[in-house]
Amino acid sequence: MLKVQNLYLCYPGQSEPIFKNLTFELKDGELLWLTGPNGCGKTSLLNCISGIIPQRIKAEFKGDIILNDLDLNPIPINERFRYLAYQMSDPDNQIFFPRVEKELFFALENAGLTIKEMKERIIRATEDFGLQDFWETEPGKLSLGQKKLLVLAFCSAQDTPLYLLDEPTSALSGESILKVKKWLKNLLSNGKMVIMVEHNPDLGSLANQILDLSK
Amino acid sequence: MNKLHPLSFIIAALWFSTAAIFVPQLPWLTLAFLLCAIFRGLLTGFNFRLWWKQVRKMIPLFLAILVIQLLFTKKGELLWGKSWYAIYSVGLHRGIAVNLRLLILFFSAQILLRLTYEDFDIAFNTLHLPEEFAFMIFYTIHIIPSAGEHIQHSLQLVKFRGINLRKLPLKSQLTIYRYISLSVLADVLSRSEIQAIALDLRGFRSTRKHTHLLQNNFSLYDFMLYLSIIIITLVYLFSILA
Repeated sequence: MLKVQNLYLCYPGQSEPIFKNLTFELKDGELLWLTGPNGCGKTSLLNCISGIIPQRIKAEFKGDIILNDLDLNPIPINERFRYLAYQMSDPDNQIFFPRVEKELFFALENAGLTIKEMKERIIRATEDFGLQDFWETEPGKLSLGQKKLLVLAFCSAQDTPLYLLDEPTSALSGESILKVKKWLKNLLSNGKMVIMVEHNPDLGSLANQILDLSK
Repeated sequence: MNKLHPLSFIIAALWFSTAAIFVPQLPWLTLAFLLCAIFRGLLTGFNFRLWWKQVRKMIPLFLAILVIQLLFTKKGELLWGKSWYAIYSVGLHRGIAVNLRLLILFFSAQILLRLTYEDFDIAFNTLHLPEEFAFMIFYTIHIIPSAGEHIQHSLQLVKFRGINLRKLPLKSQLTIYRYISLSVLADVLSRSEIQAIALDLRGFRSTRKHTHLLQNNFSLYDFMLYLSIIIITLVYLFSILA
């Protein structure tokens, strides 16, 4: 279960805070859909939960983020990958390596998994997103949609209790959107929690809760 | 040659570039250059047309260095000419030596540029060095070509707007180049900041135990390379100490 309690966020130089006493709970196997106009704080909320705020982007931040009874606030950003996977809206910000294979394995190597475990997870993740033929490809040569699927695939392989997804289906074709939908259903049925910013109403049926941040 | 361990490529490139910097004797420098060229040739193929294409752009620099050394070093034996255009042996020696050094450094850089991130990762992992080293070196080596590609792309976009840079006055050309370079630099800096965050979100620099999918064993070729490096270095040291 994820508990976000009394979250307060105010960027430097802003008179009004983005969040004031924001509180919500998310149970295992639930999807929280974040809605609201541009600039209302959807990505900021994902950044707060992932630790980017306040650890990397400085802002006035208060509140508790508790995941399965574990307080995430003191956990450094580079250890949170054990608890959450974050898909950013621009896949180019998350792709660095010269081969798809390395992108897929990177977080798993850092988690200290065995080669067998890593391969099993990656095979499953690439099959989910139709990327099994791209292991040797240079990620820079993939289309925007394929890059997005690649980021989702390595997030999926992390197999964390919580997934933060920022517009996972933007730039995707209809067929790829169906793959993402199927993957999300599978995640939820396995008890994973998902917080998602998405403008595609097709995925609305998966949401257990909707949080409108404009209010 | 491509069967070599990635660490061997790094050691060879370091050995060649160290020789380029520290060896003053022209015959040894020539030997270092020839070995470096052969090593590179074995690695990438002896495509002399491509080599010429790469080196051609540096020829004005080589000539300028040679002319400066010839005109301003008035030591050693007089070889040709008189008064200000006299050419002395030391000037000629220095001119050739500096050019050889530049060529060795250029070829060594070409050897390193062939290495992928995974190669650096394997090499540094063999030395039990943290992955940050591999990432920093890879990022640094590839940032210049990547910025170059960005600049080419921006120039292409300028062209698509119907601007022919060659027809513009030099001052306007320089202004456009300045704008493009600054925007590329700003983009590289801001992107690297967010990429650093994204890397950390995947456990980069995580303090606990890491594993490595790709591993590479040393082969007989590697030992032959190391043996050659040791023998040549020892012969050189004996020759200068004797």
